[in-house]
Amino acid sequence: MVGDIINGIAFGGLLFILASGFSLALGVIRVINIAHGAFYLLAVYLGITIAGAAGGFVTAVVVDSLTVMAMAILLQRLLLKRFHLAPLPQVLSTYGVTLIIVQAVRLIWGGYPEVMDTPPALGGTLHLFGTILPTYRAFLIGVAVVLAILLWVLIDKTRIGALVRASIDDEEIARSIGINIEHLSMMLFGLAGLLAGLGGALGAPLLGGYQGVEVEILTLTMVVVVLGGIGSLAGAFVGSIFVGILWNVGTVYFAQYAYFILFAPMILVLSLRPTGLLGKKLTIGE
Amino acid sequence: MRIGPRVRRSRIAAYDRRAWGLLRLAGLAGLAALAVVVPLTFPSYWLTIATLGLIYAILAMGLNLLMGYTGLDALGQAAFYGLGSYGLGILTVKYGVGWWPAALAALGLATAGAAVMGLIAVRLRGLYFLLVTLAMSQVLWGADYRWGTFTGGANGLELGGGRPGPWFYSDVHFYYFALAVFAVVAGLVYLVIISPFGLTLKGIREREVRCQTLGYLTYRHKLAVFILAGLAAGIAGVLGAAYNGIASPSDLALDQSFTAMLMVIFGGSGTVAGPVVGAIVITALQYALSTLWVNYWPIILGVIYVLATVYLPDGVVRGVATLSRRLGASVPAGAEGIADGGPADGPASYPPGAGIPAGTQTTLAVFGADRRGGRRGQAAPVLELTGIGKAFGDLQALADVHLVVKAGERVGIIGLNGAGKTTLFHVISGIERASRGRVILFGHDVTRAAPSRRAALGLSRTFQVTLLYPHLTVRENMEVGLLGSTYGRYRFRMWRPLHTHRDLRGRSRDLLEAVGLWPYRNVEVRHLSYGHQRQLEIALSLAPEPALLLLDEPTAGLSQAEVGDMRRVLASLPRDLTMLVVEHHLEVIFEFVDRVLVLHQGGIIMDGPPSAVRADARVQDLYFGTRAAAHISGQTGRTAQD
Repeated sequence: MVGDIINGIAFGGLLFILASGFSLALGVIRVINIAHGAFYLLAVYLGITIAGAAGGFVTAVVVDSLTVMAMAILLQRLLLKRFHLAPLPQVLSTYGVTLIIVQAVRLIWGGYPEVMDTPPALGGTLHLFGTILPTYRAFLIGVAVVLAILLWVLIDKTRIGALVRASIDDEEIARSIGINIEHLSMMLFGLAGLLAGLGGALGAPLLGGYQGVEVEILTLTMVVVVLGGIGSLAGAFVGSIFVGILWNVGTVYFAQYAYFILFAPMILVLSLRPTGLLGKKLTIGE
Repeated sequence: MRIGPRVRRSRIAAYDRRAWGLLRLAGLAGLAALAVVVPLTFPSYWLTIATLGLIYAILAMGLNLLMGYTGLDALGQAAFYGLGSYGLGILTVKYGVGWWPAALAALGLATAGAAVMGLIAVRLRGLYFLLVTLAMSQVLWGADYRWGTFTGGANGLELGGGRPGPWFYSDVHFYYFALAVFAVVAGLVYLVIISPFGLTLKGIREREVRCQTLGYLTYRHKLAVFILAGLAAGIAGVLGAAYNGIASPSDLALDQSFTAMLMVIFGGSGTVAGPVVGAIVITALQYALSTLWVNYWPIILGVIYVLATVYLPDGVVRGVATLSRRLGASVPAGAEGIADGGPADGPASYPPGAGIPAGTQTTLAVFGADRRGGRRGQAAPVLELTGIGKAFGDLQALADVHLVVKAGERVGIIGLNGAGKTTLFHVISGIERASRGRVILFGHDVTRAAPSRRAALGLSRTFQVTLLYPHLTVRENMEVGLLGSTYGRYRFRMWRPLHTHRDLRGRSRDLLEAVGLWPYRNVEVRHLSYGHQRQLEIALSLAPEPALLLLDEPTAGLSQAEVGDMRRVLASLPRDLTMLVVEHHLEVIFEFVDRVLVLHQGGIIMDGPPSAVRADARVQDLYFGTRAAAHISGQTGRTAQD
């Protein structure tokens, strides 16, 4: 049980990497990207190929992050820019993008489930709290914590962060005092893409890619973001760990009810406190 | 100005409508004939497409009631489709129930599921509504997928035929069965759309807050339509399972919800024919292309999603209507107005901008017909505020406001921008809740009550920024108002067209004639001039026959001539109607009210008859100083908003 919980925390770390970008995009520029799960899928397969062919896990991480970031920026410039503050077309069009990416991945890589070999440096196991923890999972938790700190510094301590926070609070005012929302949108959506690519590369040895993973990642991400509060990094962190544990323990012990265990808290939170546990009130598409 | 041509158009509208109506009838008859002969003339391949297209059309028509007519973008219709298909499958296969009782029970299951999920979902809006409907359908999908022993898991549940009886084994017969069910559902959906209930849905879509201040408990309407949409999805699910002979996890999958949404958007959300067109076209494409290019079909479908959202946001049906109008076909503006009460019977050409016809002063007495309570001379005060405070974060918008308004009083409220006037109205009407103090309306403590409850007690208000239903016609606006209050007994009526309710129609005509807007009855409100919108705003607030009326800057933003019209409307309001008026035109307020309050920094600093307020030194200091300066520039010392 303790082992399952620690594994759940590691999975939660991966979820945070994926959810932080999604949450920022949704909270700051009010873009809901259904293709987030497909970005993950693409990064997994691309990462596996690169790690195998062009040598090394680090290369795969870098290439994945940059590739998906470029795709995200392209998506934002070509498509999402047109659908400012309109969730319905955002959802429909990015779902279309999901279909395209998923099928392209299937055509290129054959559509078989694949997991990346754990990078040798991160092989092995650690003995922790009387239980055995694979080093790679500990590494994931570490990355999530470092990323959380970095993002917190970026949002809370830098000029760009101040602009971002201003835009969350009141976009109209932010616009009127000369914040270039278009520019900010592109950068933030690029960042969200980068984090999705990073999540795909780092998730490849843990979860890997298989049919339907894009929907699974998307729904898990949504649950995290809704639970924690849209746009809240702290909320995304707490939500990720919570959902990671819940999902891991749920699938091990109550496989039949795993989805229910996962969604029940989300539905409860939405019906009692729609802004999430740590979120602010946002008006999107009302 | 778009009004001129539009009104002139009404001269030929009667002829046009009859022609258009005939054309539509002919079109429908043609389509019906085509639908009947499909199995006789086309290859069986097309029969499959037609059958599935009809089934999906039922799903999409239900969703369209939610998305197109109520503005609720639901991403979980698969849940109810799946409850229908699995309900039928589990009951017939696992419990050996007969087909018809099983089908009925499955529909009951879908309806009950929609009722339970709707209770939670309709409390939310926009993105949150979308997310929670998605989450709910994913829960069902997950349960089905993992609960293999009962549902067949990933393999689905074979129905062993699944058709109601031997007669239905023939695909041609089943097609006619699906066609009959489709026709019934389509007829019922159309009836809902043109019913009073349908109009209330459009009102909620356009401006939910306004509906609440007009007395609607909007969540009840949203729940009702959510259940209707769930039932339609359930019907589609039962038919789908019967036709395919299997209930499969894909019935419940995210894909299914998205497909339904795409069909609605592609055909035209908020149009009668849109979802049907969308369902048939998308189904046909799916069958034609997915067999032709198995590997590329998902990519093509993805491209269709993207292109449809970018280039066809209003759907094919509206696109075709616009195109045929451009090509000179005589499609009357607002093609939906056909069921709308026959030939235009108002004055054919009405000079635009003429505003209130002479003699209005007396006709406005129609507003005074039958008000509840609050008449002059009653003992209990109409409105009592004690110690009202309202803070937005650190900003104290109202502090310790005490106010008693007696029946029949007309109270003016003046004050600089940011003095708290509009906030005070929000607190009284329930748009904002007071941070401290109590609001007592007609003797009832409503401090924590919803706007609709206050409206039901007899409170009505206008908004400083006009809050009408922009895509509804003038007459529809008025009728939404009437359905919220005096004709509230019709608001859930789904089985009779709105225009057959003669009493409601007559009343809306009386009210519109009284404010001089009758000639514009078929004009969508967003095309009205601002002056007319302000007049309609007042007429709408009078529709409930209120006992207390709050007017928030009735002349804001009006031209000099329009202010004149508005003063005449105000002067013609029944003398015994209790009113609170916020206004910056002091000459308007001083001639109109018995008592003036001066609000400053969230508190009342002066309360007395107009003459006393006019003479008060503090008030002159505060208010008239700025006014004198502003008067020279022709303005009234005011920016766009408080």
